[in-house]
Amino acid sequence: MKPLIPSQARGLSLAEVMVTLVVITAMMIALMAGVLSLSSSFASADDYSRAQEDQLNLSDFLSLDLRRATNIVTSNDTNVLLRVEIPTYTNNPTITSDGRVTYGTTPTTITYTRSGSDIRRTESNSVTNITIRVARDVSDFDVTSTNNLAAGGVAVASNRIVFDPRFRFPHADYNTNRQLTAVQSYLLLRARKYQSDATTSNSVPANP
Amino acid sequence: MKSNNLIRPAKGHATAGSVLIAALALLTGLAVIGGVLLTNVAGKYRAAHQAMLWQESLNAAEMGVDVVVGRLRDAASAGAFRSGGTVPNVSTLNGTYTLPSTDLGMHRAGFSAVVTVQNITVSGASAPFYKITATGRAQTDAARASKTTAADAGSGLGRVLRQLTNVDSGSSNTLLAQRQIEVVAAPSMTGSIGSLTTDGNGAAGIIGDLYVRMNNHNVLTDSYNSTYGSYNATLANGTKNWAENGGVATNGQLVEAGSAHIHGDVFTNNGTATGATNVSGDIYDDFYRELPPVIAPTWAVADYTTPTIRKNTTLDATGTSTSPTRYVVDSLDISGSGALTFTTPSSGEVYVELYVRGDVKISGQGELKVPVGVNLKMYVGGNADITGKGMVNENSRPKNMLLYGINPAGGPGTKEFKLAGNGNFTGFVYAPDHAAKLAGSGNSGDFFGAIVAESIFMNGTTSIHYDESLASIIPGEVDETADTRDVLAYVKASWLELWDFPSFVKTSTGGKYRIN
Repeated sequence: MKPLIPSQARGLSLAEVMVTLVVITAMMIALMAGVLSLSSSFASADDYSRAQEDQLNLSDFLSLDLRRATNIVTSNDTNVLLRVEIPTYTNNPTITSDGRVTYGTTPTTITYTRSGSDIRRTESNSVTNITIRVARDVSDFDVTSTNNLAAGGVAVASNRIVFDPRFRFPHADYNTNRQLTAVQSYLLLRARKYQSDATTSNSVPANP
Repeated sequence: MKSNNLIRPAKGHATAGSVLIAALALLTGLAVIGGVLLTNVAGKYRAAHQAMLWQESLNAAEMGVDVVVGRLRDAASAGAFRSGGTVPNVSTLNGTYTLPSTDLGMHRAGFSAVVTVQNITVSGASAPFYKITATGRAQTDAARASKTTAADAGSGLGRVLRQLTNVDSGSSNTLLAQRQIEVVAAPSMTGSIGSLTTDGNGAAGIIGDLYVRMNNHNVLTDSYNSTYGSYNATLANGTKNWAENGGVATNGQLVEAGSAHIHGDVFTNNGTATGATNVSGDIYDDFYRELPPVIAPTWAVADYTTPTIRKNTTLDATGTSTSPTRYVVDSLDISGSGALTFTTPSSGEVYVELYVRGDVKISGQGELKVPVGVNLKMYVGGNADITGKGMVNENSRPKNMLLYGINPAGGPGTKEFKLAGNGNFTGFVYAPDHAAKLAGSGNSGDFFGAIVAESIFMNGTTSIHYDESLASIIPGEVDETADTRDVLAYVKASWLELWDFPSFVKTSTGGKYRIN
């Protein structure tokens, strides 16, 4: 008697089904793990990129303000991280024959303050007072300056910014790795240097 | 049998479909993974690329300013700011123009500096100031702005670039970064020899732009002041006319003192002083002074022009300080027992200027004599080889004999200024683009005055006594009037990056944000 169903059309045996399920389950677990891992990696990378962009943004603002600063003002307010004076731009600066160039009558003050983990930048003078947020998640922000013009030196400022990226799945070495987010710079206060040159150097414009 | 045949393929298709679904699911998963990776990489690429553009736009602006300052310096070197010179005109510098990328030295297209120059007349200044505003631009095609949300843009966050413009131009997107700086360029005027050789620490009567090599312990330097009498004479207060201000300086990095006896200080430009065991003063490494080149005179009228002056020539000297007697010759060759001299004034002082276009050669018993009462200013266009009896200044005051080495057409160092006479030399040598050699074997005379040259090499027995009264001489001065200063160069007197915060405007263009 011939079998009702040929051997090619028979169902899978229990062993075959079990093996198949195990293999498919393993593959799905691996796939899901990969997707979850990539998802968290993407989120972390996105956060890190945002932190890096904020670092660039803050560094850029600091470079802008320190290079054109004519003075670094000290403050007793612990929330004030840095305060500098910059020329208040006018299209017609005052120039003296000894080479001193002055923009405006009163300087514009730039103040960097901490508000939680945010860094805010306030630009104020007699006609404007604007505050913007220039960085988030900053854990440390140090600025040191050297104003040894009297000794014939130059005015420089160094700053160090350490960010605290919002990683969703922080690593065990989180605090150590966080230090790797530090951005440092060393800037010459050009505007101040030129002002100094005009009054102290004998190689800069002199009137007969 | 027939029904079995119908069932069999149906079950076979069901099995193949499961495999296909599994394969598609796997491929979809891999595609998602790939997409996420590419998105991450693309975002970082954009951020890095735009940060690069941002920095390069500042570089472009800086170079735009430097190009203009360089052109002003070229004009100054060419005498444009002297009386009768042609000051850079409005059509050349004033206005807005774009410098081609080749001028900026950029490595690829897409960079430019739009420079606006305005000349400013400042009360009390003898030359104009220039306000230079340069907008550096760096751009690239087909690069989108980094992710910037509307909220971020409004709050000041999320901008890699402060002034990023995503310009849609036809079907292509051009990402443009631009930054603007403003610099005021101020004229730097020539200073006196005193301002060149003193920096608050001491004085130097020997200055080599590149280096100073003194190769003999018999070389001696010190100073005196000819205003008060001859060297080492006893002054009214009983002291000697002698001081330890015979310093040696270089804009380069090397002073080889060679155990020479230097009664003064040694100055280098972040360099070293070797063989400095016999230096009485201090050693400084922060010296630098611009040494203005000497430009060939462009006298409209010369009293005497002849191809060559040879021996036994006497030239009339009757001029005044404001209208000196002038001579132009192609060369000067005095050898044997001949002499070139000038008529001696019956009283007072007379002034003579002698412009030798080519070489000066004095040797053997030949001599150039400056009689009492004559003030000689001699310009040398070629080599100077002064040996034998050399140049005799009977006034005993260095400022009565000023020798200027004209900037050689072949460039600095291509001409030589050699002083190796046996007699005393009393004068001032200013040849900032000539290689100077002093003494040589057999020299037994002293050098009274000062010397400034591109490089200075000494050997033999040489004593150089710097005359401090030369401090009032303006070495770059070649104009008729001695009290007219020249524009030495243009220097930056201010630097400001312009950024008008309230001008931030966010607009949406084709789904992308533009921040002006």
